[in-house]
Amino acid sequence: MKNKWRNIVGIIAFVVLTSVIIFTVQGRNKTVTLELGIFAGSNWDVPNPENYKMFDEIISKFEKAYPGIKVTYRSGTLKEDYSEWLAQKIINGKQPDVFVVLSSDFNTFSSIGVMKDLNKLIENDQDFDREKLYTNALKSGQFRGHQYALPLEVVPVLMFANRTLLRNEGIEVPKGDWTWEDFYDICQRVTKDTDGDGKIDQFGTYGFTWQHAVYTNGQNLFDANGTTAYFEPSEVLESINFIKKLNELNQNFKPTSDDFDLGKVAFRPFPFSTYRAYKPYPLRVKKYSSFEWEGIKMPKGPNGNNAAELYSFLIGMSSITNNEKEAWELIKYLTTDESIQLSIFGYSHGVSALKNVNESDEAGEILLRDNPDEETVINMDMLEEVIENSIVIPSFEKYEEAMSMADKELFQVINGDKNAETSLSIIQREIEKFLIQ
Amino acid sequence: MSNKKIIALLLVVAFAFSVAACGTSTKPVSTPDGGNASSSDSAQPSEPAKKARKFGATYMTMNNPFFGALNDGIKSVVEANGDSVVTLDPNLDQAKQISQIEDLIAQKVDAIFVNPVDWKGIKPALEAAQKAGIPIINVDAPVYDEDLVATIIASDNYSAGKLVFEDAVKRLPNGGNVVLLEHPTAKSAIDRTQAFKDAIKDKPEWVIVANQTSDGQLEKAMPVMENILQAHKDIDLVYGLNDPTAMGAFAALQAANRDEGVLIYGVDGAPDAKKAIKEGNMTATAAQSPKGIGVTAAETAYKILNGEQVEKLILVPVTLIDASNVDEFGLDGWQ
Repeated sequence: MKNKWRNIVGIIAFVVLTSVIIFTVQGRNKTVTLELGIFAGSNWDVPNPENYKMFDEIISKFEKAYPGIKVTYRSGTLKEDYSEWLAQKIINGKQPDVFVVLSSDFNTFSSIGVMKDLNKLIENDQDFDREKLYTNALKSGQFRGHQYALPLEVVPVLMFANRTLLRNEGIEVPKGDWTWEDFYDICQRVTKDTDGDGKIDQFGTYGFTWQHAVYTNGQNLFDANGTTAYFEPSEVLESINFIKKLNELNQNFKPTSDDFDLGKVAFRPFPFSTYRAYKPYPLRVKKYSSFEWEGIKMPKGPNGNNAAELYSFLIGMSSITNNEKEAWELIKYLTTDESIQLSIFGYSHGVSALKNVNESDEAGEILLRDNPDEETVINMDMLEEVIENSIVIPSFEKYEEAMSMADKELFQVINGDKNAETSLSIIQREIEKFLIQ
Repeated sequence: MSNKKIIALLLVVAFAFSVAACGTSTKPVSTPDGGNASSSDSAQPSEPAKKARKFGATYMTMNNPFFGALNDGIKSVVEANGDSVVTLDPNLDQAKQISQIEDLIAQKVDAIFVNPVDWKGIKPALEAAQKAGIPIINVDAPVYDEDLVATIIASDNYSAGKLVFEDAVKRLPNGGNVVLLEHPTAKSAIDRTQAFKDAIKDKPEWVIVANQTSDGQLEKAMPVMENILQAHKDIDLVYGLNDPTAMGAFAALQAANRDEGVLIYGVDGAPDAKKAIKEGNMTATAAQSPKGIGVTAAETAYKILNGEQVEKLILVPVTLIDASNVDEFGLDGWQ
């Protein structure tokens, strides 16, 4: 009888042990498949035929580094359709585990809980060092103090200077920390009627908006949570008055983008990605080819820095992913692995959010490859300074609508007779009311 | 209300609903364009509403603005009918294009506009569409297996090559050394190049010194042309299969300071090329009308879906644009 029980116990023990071993081995060999949400082409609206190549290479390296994880993506979605495609996936509860986020969607996605709050994952991960990323780059993926996304790339705003026009006017291209005063002075000197037909046909600037003025005067228009607006500080009034003064130089003649393309405008703000795409061959033959140009810092207002807003290309995690650990490894790999970030820097047209990458010799060489002219090349020291001094636009649900309200009112101030101070008070009141609704 | 706001609103409602109703799992709801909706609580209308049609489109690469303009032409007709187009970009990867067509078939689209990456390699996707009963409207670059598509709408590409040669003869009556930049997997490009080759046959004064591929891409055309420039000192004419290629060749010539006196031809009539012609950087382009091709393709697709007979091949004429007439066509947009 004892033997019988002993045999039964032995058999049960054998079965249990074998099952444990089988499940453990199976568990170890189980491949997790992550879906990555991306779109075709460049985030920066410049030609980039190698976008898939970049992601395919990165995915291949990731899968080698993490043998238990496979990454798939649906190819083909255009950037203009991506938002709707992703929204439909979300509505159907089928969003990718990890996905890139358009800046215009970040507010909505973080506010309705579509994206995972990454704070805990960051805190619990010893390998993740916040210090390696620019503070401003990290800030761009935050919503109400929580990190919902990390930057794949960032792009600061620079000033495009038409060297040919300035040279013809006997003016040197402003370098270093130039000011609004310098900017106004040059605009005043170049704005003129060159063919004597009574119409102004050469202009100081095109596209320098009231927002650029506010940011270069060191002012953000909202707090990080989107609960308070700042339209009444003197820095904002100063900025609006400066824009009015600049516009008055043109009398009733408004420059257009065609004027700029034809070389009739001295300055125009533009994202750094435009410089990287169109400064080197072969794309330099497509745009601005009839004159020489270079990128310089933005002019600073009396209370600001030589920098305006910072654009970020963000990537985040689905809040309903079943593979949180693996999804985090992928996000971390894409955003903080230095070799991967260097590869993105080489293929795309932005700047890395990692300080080490931008300070590397390789990154410097890529910039020199883009523009071998040492006189006009943008160096990394300048870029780093601009990134750190840039204004990060706060992310909150009502941002776009609030800005549209302000824009509407300020259009009449800048182009009409409305009093700037009174209008700013009205904007402040109306937007504050709107924000607490 | 803008599309963006509608999407945001739908997302808020859908997400709140899914979280409240299902805890951690989500329940599909109806979507604006049909999507993959699986449930709907809405009341049945007294009369059945017209079912919105959904089309698919995949072009060899959206890195060429020509296809953006063609897609705009299609969308203008489709959206005016209250229908939608899902546009996909394989970026010159045939395998990706095949999987995109499979995806469109799985979405049960009504018809698919196809511009093949490889005119022969596209065959498995065409067969899959045929099996699923989804008509293929072949645009711009014809496929090899013509019997697998409902219709082909393309420019008269052979005439484009002829127009280029006729203009070249006027400018170089004694002939010259020619560089041909081609794209041998696209039938549209094959025809354009072949027309030029046929025209110079038996004309020994015309010599093709280099004949290389650049996939119709500006970014690839420049290094290809740079290599050609190193091997050949005497070049009189470059004929690119499309405008991006011609612009890439010009970039190489300008960078090497060898653009002076070289005739540069393209095909497309792209705004960038017209500006280059105006500035004297390009000689001429055989202009197509991508929007016109798109509009015709979409109109033909509706005829097919309505059971009407359509022509198997619809050719859209091309026109030569050079410095003498470029202003008539305008520099900002497509003709």
